[in-house]
Amino acid sequence: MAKRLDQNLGSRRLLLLGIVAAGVLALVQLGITPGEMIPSDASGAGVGKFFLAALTPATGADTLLIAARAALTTLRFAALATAISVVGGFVLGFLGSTAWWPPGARRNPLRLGALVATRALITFMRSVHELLWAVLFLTAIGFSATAGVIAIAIPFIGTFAKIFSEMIDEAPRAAADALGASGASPLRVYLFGLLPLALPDILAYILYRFECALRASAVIGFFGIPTLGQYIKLAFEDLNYPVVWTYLYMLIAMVIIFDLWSGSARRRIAH
Amino acid sequence: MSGRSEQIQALRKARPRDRFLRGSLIAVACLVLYSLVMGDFSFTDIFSKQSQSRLATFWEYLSEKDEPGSPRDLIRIDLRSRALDATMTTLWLSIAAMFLAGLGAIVLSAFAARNLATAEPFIASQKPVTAAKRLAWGGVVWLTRGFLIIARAIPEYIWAFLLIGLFGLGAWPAVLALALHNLGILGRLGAETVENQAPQTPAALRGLGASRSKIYLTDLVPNALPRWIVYFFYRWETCVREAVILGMLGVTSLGYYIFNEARPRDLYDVMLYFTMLGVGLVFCADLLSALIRWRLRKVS
Repeated sequence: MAKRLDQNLGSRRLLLLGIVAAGVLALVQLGITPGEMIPSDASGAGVGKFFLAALTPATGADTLLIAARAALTTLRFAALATAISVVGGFVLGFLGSTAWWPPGARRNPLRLGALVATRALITFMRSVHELLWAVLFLTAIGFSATAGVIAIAIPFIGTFAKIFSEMIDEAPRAAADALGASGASPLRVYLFGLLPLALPDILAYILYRFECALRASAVIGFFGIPTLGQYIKLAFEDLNYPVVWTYLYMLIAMVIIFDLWSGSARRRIAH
Repeated sequence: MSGRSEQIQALRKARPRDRFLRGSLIAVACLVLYSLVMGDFSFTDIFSKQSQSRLATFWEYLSEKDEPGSPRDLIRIDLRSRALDATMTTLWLSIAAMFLAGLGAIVLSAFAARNLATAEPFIASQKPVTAAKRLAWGGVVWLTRGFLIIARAIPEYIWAFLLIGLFGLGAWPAVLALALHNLGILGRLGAETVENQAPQTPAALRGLGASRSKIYLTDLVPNALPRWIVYFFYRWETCVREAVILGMLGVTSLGYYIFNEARPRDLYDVMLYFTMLGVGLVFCADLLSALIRWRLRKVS
């Protein structure tokens, strides 16, 4: 026991040392010195001005109206992208999990091939950032609101599919085994034996991802959709810092409100 | 038989229901429907004549072969030769940012944890505590949490856009942007981990006269560490993806070559080449992080 604990501490110490060494090496490689971290006098004035403006955000009626409208657009894009991703995530998550497989299916090369292909697709969708998907769409088919929603949805589908399949594979198997033994089809085993048990975790995860979708939806505004990102970009380029902060606070308020709501929803789901 | 179905009906009626959750579900459904009705999403958009012809051009450029030695081909070779550089820059950006975010989170978690940053940590104080002191500690927690939530609510890309605009183009504002957002997340999760720990040992240490920082460093941090490392690597995976796209703002990570070099020149094959390098890098980071998390779970 003592030896195991010792090994445990040893490997952890090694890991921490590795993280610190890699961090310092990265800073050196990028040429970041402590001197560079503090902005020069010229840019320092701009930095000071920008962060001081945080205390005096613009509160004109027209600015607030634009902010509210942009926030609503941000919310809409996040909601649509999440809704599409949840549906896509369930389909791919079903194909990417093995818990519903009838016994003996593991020896079927066709099934195994399909599983590997699904998981590779899931990984690929997840590995390309939503903004990069947006750029690829922009280049290949031209950008539209729909392309924006799909750009956000693709990596989200990948993430949902991965997490859903993991949660379903980790759900208790007793009910699924009983259903399978009494002759239920694999789809029924999945829908009635596995999904209900994993559902609380899945719902909690969807709530968490929606917060990420809000941010992604704000950022996609940099590519021409009138979400908060677009207005932040325009106001900042006009050096209109108080207005920038109004939009930033709008985004922050959305995240805080959603955090409070999802927190109480999560607690109720857990009970 | 009818008795059976009545029983089922009775069970159905008696099932636990939650007004709040039901209301939330209806609100979410309405929101999605409203977004659909507002026309943010329509299939005719993506299958329009315009996008069809653009797609055709895209394929044409993609499959087109340039003469070896032609100017376009030379640019292509030049861009491809910078692949390793761009990949390493992406990797270093993500590592430097996570290192700083981790350091910051270790410090700020202490000030955001309500069980530690209080006038009477873990056990009641012998002397009566003044109201001013209570208020001051409340202020510390409130300010720290406020900073963390602002850092977290603003996405990396927007932080980077703002900081590059303010500091001028360079690696430091990009690293700072990635670090700030991740600090917001790690700090919040870190404080939660500290708050959820068993209070017995800290209370005993406090009884022996240990200071807050001693309790934090000798008991709370070591116990929170396995969890923190798991969170750290979860965030690092995401951070690599983000470091790729920060290139679009001018830092020479992979995104720079995709967005600012290959795309304006219509070198779509180079664009996809750098995109796939990003996919490969993210895949390696995922694998490493999964491996470390798996090992940690095995030993602890």
